[in-house]
This record gives sequence, C-alpha cells and structure tokens, in this order.
Amino acid sequence: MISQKNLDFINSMVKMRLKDIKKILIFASGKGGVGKSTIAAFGSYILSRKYRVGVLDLDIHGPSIPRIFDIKNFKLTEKKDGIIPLRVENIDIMSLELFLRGKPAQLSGKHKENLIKEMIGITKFVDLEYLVVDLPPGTGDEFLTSLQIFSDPFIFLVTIPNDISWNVVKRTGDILKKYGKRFGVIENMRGYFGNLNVELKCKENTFPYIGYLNFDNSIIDKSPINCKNSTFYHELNNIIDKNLTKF
Amino acid sequence: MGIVDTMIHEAKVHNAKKVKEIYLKIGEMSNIDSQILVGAIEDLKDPNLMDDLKVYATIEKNRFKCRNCGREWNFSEIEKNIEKINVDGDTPLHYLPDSAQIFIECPYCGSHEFDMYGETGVVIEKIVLEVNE
Repeated sequence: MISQKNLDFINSMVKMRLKDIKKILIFASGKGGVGKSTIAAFGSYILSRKYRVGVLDLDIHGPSIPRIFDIKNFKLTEKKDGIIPLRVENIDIMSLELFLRGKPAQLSGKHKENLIKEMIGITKFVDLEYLVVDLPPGTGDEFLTSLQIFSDPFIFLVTIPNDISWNVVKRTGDILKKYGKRFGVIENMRGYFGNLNVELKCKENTFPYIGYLNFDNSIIDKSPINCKNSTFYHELNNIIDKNLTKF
Repeated sequence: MGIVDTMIHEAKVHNAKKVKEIYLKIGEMSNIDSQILVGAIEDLKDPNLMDDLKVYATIEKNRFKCRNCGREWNFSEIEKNIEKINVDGDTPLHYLPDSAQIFIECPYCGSHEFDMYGETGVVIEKIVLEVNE
C-alpha cells in the first residue's frame, strides 16, 4: 500500500476540460482600450458560423463579453459534471460576470490563478473546435496563467496605430517571442487613433502582422449578431479567412 | 470529475491495481454537501480500479481576519449576506471558492482585504493505493 498526499486536482480538472478542445485563440494586448474584447466577440461570432465555438472571458476585473453579446436575463444551469455555459446563437460563453452580475471584482493576485483554473474546471464546454479567450490588458496574472495552462494557443496581439499603444504592446510581443508562442499582431481602429505604421513596426521587431481593421463607429455598443453588414465585421472576416490555417 | 481522474492518474503512475481509500477535505464556504460529493464519486468511479473504494470527506470551517480593522469572524456569521446565484441556493463560492475576496466583506468595516483560514474548495488529502508486488 502506498498513499499520496495533498494532491492538486484542480490542475487535473483543467487538463480534462481542455483536452478535447481543438484550437485555442487568445486575444491579448499590453494596452487597455484597444478593442480586444470587441475583436474577440466578433471573431468568435464569425467562427461560430462554421465551427463549434466557446468564449472564455478571463478579464476578471472588467469582464465585458456578456455586455457585448447583450446578455441580460439568464440563469446558470448546473449538471452533475459542470456548469453549462450560456449559449448565444451558436456560441457557448463563460465569464466571471455571470457570477458578478455587475458587482465590482476586488481580487488580489494570489487568488487569480486559482480563480481562472476554477472557472475552466467548472465549465462544461462540449465538442469545441475553437475556444476564444479574452484577456484583460497587461502581462499580469491572467496573461501568465493563460500562457501556462493553454497548450499551443494562437495569440492575437491587439494594438491601435499610435506610439503609446505600440510601446506597451511591443513588450507583450517580446514576452511571447521569448516564450516561443505563436502570435500575430492585429491593428485596430486604423484611421482614428493615430497613424503609426504598425506593419513596419512589426517588421522591425520580427512580429507577424496579420492585418488591420478600420475604425467603424457603427459597431459601438452593439452585439456582433446585429453587425453582420458592418465594415468591421467584413474586414475581420477577411483576416480570419486569410489566416485560419495559422491558428 | 477531477477527483476520479486524479485517482486514476495516481493509480497509473504507481502501477497500482486498486484505489482503496480517498480522504477529502471540503471548505465550509464552498457549501458542498459531503454526502452528495461522495455519491458523485461513487457514480463516476472506475468499476474495476475502485470497486471497494472507501471515500472519507470532512468539512473544514472557514475563518477570516480583516487586514484593515484586524477583527475576525467565522463564515457562518456572514453566510446569509452572500447573494445566491441559482435556484438551488448556491453562492458563487460553491463554484469559485477563490472568488471569496469579491463576495465576502468584513462585517465590521466593509473591507475586502482579509486573510482566510481553512480550505476554500475541495482538497484531496490522501489516496491509498494497493500496488502490484
């Protein structure tokens, strides 16, 4: 007889939940306010028209995926082996906001890694081809925990075309390069927040540049479901179509 | 279920023929019913590897000390203040024990900065295996 003590089963839960997900797409940026969550939401909706897609909102302090999808009245359903994510159109959504319901999230660093693992551990995503992960700005706990637990994700690094944003996003790219992660830079809000040549900056830093999205005020505060004819939707659709094999 | 998977994993790692016993500690604030948890493990267990498995689960009380005002309290004193999120009356802490700092505040000064004592979720304390000689 032998006995094993103090086994860490939350990591087993995370592994079990992620093992059947075919591809993981992470939306990150060192900088806030560059449109990560909007691109993540639109991207997941575009993908969901052909594939089984889930969205995991890991922006603990500012979860906005439920707001972008205009989720208002909902009830969480629990089965024996996990919580069923909310289904919007063909997308399965899990966000801390489904628990917070507008409450501010005061949480210090030491609990964030566990909370992220718990969120993944309780969520019963089924048969996903793509899991879209929306991260908060920065390279703190949520970012580092994601790099640790998601194996071989493709990371979209979002910037707007000005030096203040690029100056921060470049550092995130440097971290991803250092860790050998697969990533590509998306330039968002072109023509509105500056005219930095992001493609050139990417070349100078040997960062893969995967495309740009023009500023489109028709999508502000709207769900992607109601914006299928927008310029933003079509431009992002083209970027995804062109790059899908890289993901 | 992660607990059953962990037992299977440990049995494989140690080339064990049976998992004989598992000892679990459950944090009070997770509001997990130990009998329901034991029943779930019984339902999901591997029938060959765990045919005579014994599951032992104990509840550990949670206590808090405020970093702002220094006062202390038990979970049972503030449990009623935590908003329920579903028809079964579970709080967010049932699913996400590490969100305690968000949903609990000091009953004396309202601060969310406190130290927690006792396990928050479910912890496997010990697994007893029968190995091939």
